[in-house]
Amino acid sequence: MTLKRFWPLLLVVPLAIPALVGNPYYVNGILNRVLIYTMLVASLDLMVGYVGDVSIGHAGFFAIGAYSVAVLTAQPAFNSDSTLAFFPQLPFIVALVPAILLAGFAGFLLGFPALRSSGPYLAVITIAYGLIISTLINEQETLTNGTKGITLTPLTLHGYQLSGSNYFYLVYPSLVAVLYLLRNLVRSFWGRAFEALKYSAVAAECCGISRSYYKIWAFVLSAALGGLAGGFFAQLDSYVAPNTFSYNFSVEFLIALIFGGVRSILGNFLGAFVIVVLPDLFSRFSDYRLMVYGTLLLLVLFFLPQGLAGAVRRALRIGRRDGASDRDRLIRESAALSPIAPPTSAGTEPALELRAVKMMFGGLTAVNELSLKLQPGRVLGLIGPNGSGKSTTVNLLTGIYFPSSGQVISFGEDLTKHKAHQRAARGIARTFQNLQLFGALTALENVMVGLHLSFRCSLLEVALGLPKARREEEVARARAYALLRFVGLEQVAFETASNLSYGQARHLEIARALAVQPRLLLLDEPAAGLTSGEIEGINALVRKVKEAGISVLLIEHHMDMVMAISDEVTVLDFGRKIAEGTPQVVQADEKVIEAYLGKHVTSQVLPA
Amino acid sequence: MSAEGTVTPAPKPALLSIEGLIVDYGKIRALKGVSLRIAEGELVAIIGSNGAGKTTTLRTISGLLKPSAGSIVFEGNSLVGLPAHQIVARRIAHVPEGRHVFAGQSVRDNLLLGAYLRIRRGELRAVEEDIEGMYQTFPRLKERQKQQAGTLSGGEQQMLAIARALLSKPKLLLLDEPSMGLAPVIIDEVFRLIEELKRSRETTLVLVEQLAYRALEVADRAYVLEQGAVRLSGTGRELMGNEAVRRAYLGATKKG
Repeated sequence: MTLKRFWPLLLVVPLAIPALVGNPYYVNGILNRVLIYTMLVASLDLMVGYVGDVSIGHAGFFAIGAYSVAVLTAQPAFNSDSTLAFFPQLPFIVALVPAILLAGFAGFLLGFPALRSSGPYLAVITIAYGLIISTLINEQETLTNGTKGITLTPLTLHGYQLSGSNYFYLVYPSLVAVLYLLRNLVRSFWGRAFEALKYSAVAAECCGISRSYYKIWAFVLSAALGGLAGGFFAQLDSYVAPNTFSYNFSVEFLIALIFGGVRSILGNFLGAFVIVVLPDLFSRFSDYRLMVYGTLLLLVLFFLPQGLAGAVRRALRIGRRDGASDRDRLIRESAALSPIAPPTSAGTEPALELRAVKMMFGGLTAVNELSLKLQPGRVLGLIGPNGSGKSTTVNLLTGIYFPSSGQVISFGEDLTKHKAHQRAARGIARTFQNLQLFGALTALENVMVGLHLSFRCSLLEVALGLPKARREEEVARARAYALLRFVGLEQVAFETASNLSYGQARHLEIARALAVQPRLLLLDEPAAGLTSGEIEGINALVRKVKEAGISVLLIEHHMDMVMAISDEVTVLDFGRKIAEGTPQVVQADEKVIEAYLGKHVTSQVLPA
Repeated sequence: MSAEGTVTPAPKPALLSIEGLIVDYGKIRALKGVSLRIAEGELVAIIGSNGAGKTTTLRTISGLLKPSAGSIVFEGNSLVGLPAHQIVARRIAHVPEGRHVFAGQSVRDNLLLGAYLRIRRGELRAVEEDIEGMYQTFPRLKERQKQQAGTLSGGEQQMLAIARALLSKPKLLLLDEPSMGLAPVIIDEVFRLIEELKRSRETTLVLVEQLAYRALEVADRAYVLEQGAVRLSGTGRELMGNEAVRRAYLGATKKG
């Protein structure tokens, strides 16, 4: 306990290194380089590890940062035969600011194509991006001095040398500060939003997370951090030249990231260390140097799928943080919380109204002139054969699809053109028929993603780790825990979602949807694949939700459940409404029996 | 050894016998020593709650999971350690939970892929005939034979998954939750099909099903799995009468 509290003091220890080592080659040539590369790898990690978009163009952001500092600080005396048009001669520290801003802006520009593509396509876009930047640097001679590069003035502070070994005293504290901010960020609702988008963009949107907003922010932050690393790099050798920032450079950093292990500061450091030190170590293999290096990489990736950091964790038997350390506090604090609050502004307007909604996919009409009304506080069952348009309807209601014609209205507000995250903000939440949990997050974190809209702290407050932001996080954890208890999952709160059994996963979907604080809850086959005992549990949950005043749209094939819970039932077939009314009326309807229920069900399931 | 008909007939030999099967997912032990015997031509149901190990059992039989211990003997030969594609070659077909049709391929190509090993053996003509036969059984598949399988409705995909498995002419067919996510009227169809397969007695069936009542109704025998172990076994009728089974698994499915 006390040890934990004081471990940040250990961060001071490395400050003794330059004095102990002495040899400037080791300190500046290797150690400073490793630290600066760690910063770049960490920036790449934000994009690849957390957001899940592979970038092979990070050398571009690095170059923007390096050249910003070089151009803004260079002095004519050191660049006598240059073609540079102007010499602003700013101080180094001041020049870091435009380095960060320019790289961040470049990241912003890359964010837009990134919204439209993903996976290998996005990776190719980032390659193109890196190539464009390195070509610009080469050709814009008046701005960059072209292939000749720019020589920087060695850093001094009040006549005290800050380059060479002493550069460490500037680089190391900066790296520690930056990684601290980054760590705070990725452990906050920001980090969870990034990861949620990675695992299921659709589910994240339905939790109120705007995909475009968070993705573009991720690109901006990652690029800005890469730019800062580049800024430090410019002073490392006091010289920058365009051939450094090649395509190979980007690839090397991606290798460093994967090799070290994603989503781990230790991994970022180890990866950076490896790409700086290994090529040097292998120099004696001369011509076969790259082959030896490559073979080693292959072996490590094959045997250590989680990278070096994963291997270190395993060796020291440290698991990934599962966050169970505050379990007692959660149990205590959540006990006082009521998991679901009645919706505050339900009003008397229909919770949901569809007006002649039509949805075409190419020539196929999935939903045809569908009109529905769900009064507040009631449960509407939506049934029909597979492929009759039920799930399409839910997707229309939540803004995953937009109707070809017709209107979607909720509590008096026309939401037809609203995006999924905007509808979540208006109290529409859903579960998914084919589970869409955020796999590597714990059950508790999954629910906390659902609480996303309840977070108010700004990016800066979160990154600085202000008490306000910490408190907000703690409150949300307690609320999430209360919701897990409500659905009976508190025992697995710290378990990774992908390890949950099917039945538990279905319950977690419901808890996450309730975290959005819905006025209208859409349940898409919540009982599919469950045993009758488990179905009764779901039944009881839905009843409690209804008692809390939340309106429910229930899609389900288990007729006993639908008939027992629903106030009204609407039946779809081929995208059209073929019947509606009370459960009794619908069950007796000939058309419904023929199209959907079949003889087996009608002979066995109640009528009450 | 003696003349025919003079000894009492030996108990029907097991087509598939599983002894002490243990399967682990990392640190979690999913099966804790499961033993099953399935005779030729039988329809055996496996019921139990989520996480009891039903799907794990099927996936281990078909070689998708490797057991930590235990034996799986099919027609007198051990299956343990064989890769999945060699187990298919021994004529065991698996209809996985969630159907897993080849979404980007046409319906017809899905069916041809089901008969992959037969076609490689040069039985293309017979396969073509069998596909025609399948189209008789599933007219919807014929209508949609050129359509991409991913565009079929859930019920049609389930039919396709079963038809695809049957085209390998299996001696043993493993059905994992064929009713999942299907409309009641389609579930009726699926069970009609299962009953037909049972009546023909050409294929031995292992049926894993959440709709315990429907499964027990159609099965010759059944096993109840709980937490990775067999809790109960018996004929479908016996288990339907069992108080514990009724309470745990038949509750909401059916009253009375």
